[in-house]
Amino acid sequence: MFASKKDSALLDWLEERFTIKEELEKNTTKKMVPPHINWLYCLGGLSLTIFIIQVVTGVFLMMYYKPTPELAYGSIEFIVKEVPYGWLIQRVHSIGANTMIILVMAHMVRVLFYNAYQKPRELHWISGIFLFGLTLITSFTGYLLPWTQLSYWGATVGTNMPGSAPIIGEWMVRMSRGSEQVSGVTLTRFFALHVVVLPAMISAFAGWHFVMIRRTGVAGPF
Amino acid sequence: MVDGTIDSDALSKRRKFIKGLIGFFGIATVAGVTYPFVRYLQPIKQQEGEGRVEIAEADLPPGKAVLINYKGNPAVVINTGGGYIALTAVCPHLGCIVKWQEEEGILFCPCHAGKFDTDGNVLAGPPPRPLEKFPVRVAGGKVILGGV
Ligand code: HEM
Ligand code: FES
Repeated sequence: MFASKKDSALLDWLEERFTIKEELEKNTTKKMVPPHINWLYCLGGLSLTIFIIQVVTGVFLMMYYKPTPELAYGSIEFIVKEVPYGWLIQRVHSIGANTMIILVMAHMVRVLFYNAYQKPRELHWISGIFLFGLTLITSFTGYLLPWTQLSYWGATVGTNMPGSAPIIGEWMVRMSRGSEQVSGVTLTRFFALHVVVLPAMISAFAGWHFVMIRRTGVAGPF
Repeated sequence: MVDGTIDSDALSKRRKFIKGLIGFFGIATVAGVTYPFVRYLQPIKQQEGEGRVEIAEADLPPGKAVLINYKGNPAVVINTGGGYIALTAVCPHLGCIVKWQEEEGILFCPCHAGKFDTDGNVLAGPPPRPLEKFPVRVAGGKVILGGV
């Protein structure tokens, strides 16, 4: 498309200012991928695709969601039952969360079995470990938000886990809950993490991950 | 120094000193900025008072139990018929809330079927230790926990 003779006026305008065509060609249309890649190399890109879907559907959910113990469940119910296509947005977001975990794990397994984490790709793997952990924590914090019995007890058991760490365990439990037991304070805390902090961190680590991958190219042929 | 030049030894000493100073104040600044944020996230002791809870005896007939908030945590107060007993309601296994079963006279945890007797001892299930017991006293028709 960008290689065609008749480029759009906008592209020409941009080209005059910062050679966008050249960059686009180099990085997209004329970028060569090595012949040895197969479908399994898509798993990382698919993880990113789901992440983008999660961000979009998440922002839409946030427009009606209310993060308080009194209103949380009702607001989700309202989204699903009353808001046009709310059921779709809500379902896509919750199924997407599970799918993202599966894809990230599958991607990790692919990288592992291809030995693609080895030198010089250690930093790809390390940034990936962060992405894996952040993906899990994002799902965990999101699971509390509907404030159902399942989410309440899920959060209770989950926030209890750091308690078995020596010395700082108890402190970590209290800090993650913001109260002795899971409460409304925990809900708003998880909400802030789920919608702002964790997605921002995933974006940052994914950026690092991608810069590393562009530097080395994908591993192989083997 | 006397002739207006600085010898390199003194210069490197001074550099070291300045670096140390910047390092020190840098760390102090980071710590000073971090501290309020950490404190902000710590649980706030709201209306816990001295942790005194009163229940009217009339509200707690024999065989019955009530769930209360004691020092920020759920606790259960039982009238066993032979007296009042107060135990934490937080299961020592994974933290679910235990429930009084009047017919069996036990406390039951719905999460993994932990069972406790009225002294908090584990009868069945995965809980690793008994439920903590709190002292209770009766005065003026009231069952009282904590406080003086
Ligand atoms: C949000 C999660 C993640 C996203 C969006 C993501 C994205 C990507 C993408 C697009 C690639 C290019 C090649 C491919 O797709 O297979 C890649 C490569 C790679 N990823 Fe990830 N990734 C994620 C998580 C992880 C995790 C959890 C690990 C391992 C701990 C990991 C380790 C690697 C490594 C070592 C490579 C280089 C593979 C090679 O050169 O063949 N990534 N990642
Ligand atoms: S949490 Fe009570 S038995 Fe597991």
